[in-house]
Amino acid sequence: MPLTPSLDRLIHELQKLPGVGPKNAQRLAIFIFKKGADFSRALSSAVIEMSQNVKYCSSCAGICESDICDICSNSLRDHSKVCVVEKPTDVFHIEATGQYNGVYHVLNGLISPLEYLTIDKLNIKPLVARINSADSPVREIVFALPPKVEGDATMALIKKMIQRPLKISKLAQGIPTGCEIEHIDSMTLARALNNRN
Amino acid sequence: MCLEIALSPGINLFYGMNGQGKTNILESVEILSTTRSDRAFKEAELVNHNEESALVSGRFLKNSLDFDISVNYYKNRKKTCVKNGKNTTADSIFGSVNIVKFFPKDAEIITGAPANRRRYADMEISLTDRAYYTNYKNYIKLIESRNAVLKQMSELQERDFKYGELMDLIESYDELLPDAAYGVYRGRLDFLKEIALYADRTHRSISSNREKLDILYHCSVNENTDKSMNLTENLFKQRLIFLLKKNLKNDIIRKLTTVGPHKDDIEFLINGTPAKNFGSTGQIKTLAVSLKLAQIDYVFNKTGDYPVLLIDDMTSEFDAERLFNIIKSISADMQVLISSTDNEIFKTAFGGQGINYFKVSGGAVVNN
Repeated sequence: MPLTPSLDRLIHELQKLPGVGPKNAQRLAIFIFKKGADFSRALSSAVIEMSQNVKYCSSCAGICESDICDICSNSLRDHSKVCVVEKPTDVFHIEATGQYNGVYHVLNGLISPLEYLTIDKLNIKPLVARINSADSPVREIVFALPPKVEGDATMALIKKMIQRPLKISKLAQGIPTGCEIEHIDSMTLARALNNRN
Repeated sequence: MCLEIALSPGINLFYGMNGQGKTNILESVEILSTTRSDRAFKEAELVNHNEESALVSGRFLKNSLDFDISVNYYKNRKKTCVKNGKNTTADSIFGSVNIVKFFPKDAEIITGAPANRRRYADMEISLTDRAYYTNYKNYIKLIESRNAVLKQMSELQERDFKYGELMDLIESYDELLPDAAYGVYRGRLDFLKEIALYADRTHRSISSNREKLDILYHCSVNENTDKSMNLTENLFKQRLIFLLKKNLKNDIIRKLTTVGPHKDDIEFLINGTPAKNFGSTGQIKTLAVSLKLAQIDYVFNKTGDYPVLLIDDMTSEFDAERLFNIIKSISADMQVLISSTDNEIFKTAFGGQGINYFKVSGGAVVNN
């Protein structure tokens, strides 16, 4: 049922967000209306400001507000180590551990021919160029891709395209800290048993 | 339209004319176990023409613990699953309840295409072995991805730059395939070995010890002339890598991966002769039943619980005496759902005792 033209328009736009269906969009729209003009102004200006300022880092394709992100431009970081991740948000998660001092490369997706995600649609070639160039400082690659078919295939492909001897590793797989054995799926448990130390 | 049925722990017989909805009741239990139905090609087919969605809900009691499972199918979107009031994935529901079903189509496991036999083995193993199921799904995804790349390559010239790139991708899949493929191969071999043991025992007793049953696994990777010789892990992987490379040109032309467990077959031998080609109709029916009865032992051995048995329209397949021998041979600990057009023969054979009768008519059910 149509509400008012302006609310309908907002609902229409909100529905384009991931995970937001018609009912949810309606609830959000009414919420925004009830919050009043100040909230609406703050929300819309935040959205516009974000879209004007945030861009992909020209080196690692992570997200930042300058041409090169803070991590890539930081000379104190170890530029011989590159951590390859799927999404920009993965960078923040790994940074939060405080255990990694190298730089990143964001692929913005994984190889999946079934979903028409091919080499050209992902940020793979710039990574390979970054590694293969004659003056490349890169000596080590750490793959932090999700442990599933698409992640494994992407890793195998990138390894094939690398033409220099490098130290290559991937994140260990196993049991999360502090969890109960009974809650672990059998595939993970089987892998953890086989790779026990 | 809504239907609610309370079942008894023993034998539940649904009887009525054809087309009244007896099989639907059995199908709904299958859906709660596997989240899919063998009868529907697409999920949307499970939804009534005039409705937007279809809901199957069940409350189960297993080892004195009860749990609820619901599967909701829609016309235009993916199914959703709920376990104990919480939304969850189809995978986490899959196998919560184990079933063994006797359907008229069972004979197709023996007489039908190889895909029928592979589906039979993969489904039965997956219900009790989660690691196999996960690995199997990965394997199929690898093969489908590889096939999608083969298709792209078939549309290009070898000298194209893109062709070389795609070749790198094929080689990446070929590195990942051996591990996943071996998991499928090993899982099926172990399953068939155990099933053969139980099924041969049952088959001998049904056939008054006249017929010996053997099950052979034909592996497309195994080029030994003696198919009963199984490959070691290393040999299997080596041969698969070799064959993937050797067949690549042909694979590109056919846009399909022509070697691997997805091309394997299972052969049933009665007294050393292939049942598919030389078995009589009676022998094949007996064999199908032996396989299903063996499945009960298999599930019990793996999980410590008896499965729920679904027996669909067996009166049309079997003479009554055989059917009763089968039902009586089934442990009293098992819950059984039977559909039949005839309730009189059951009343005569069981004297009306120990069976819960439901009359099904026009989609409605009356307990009597």
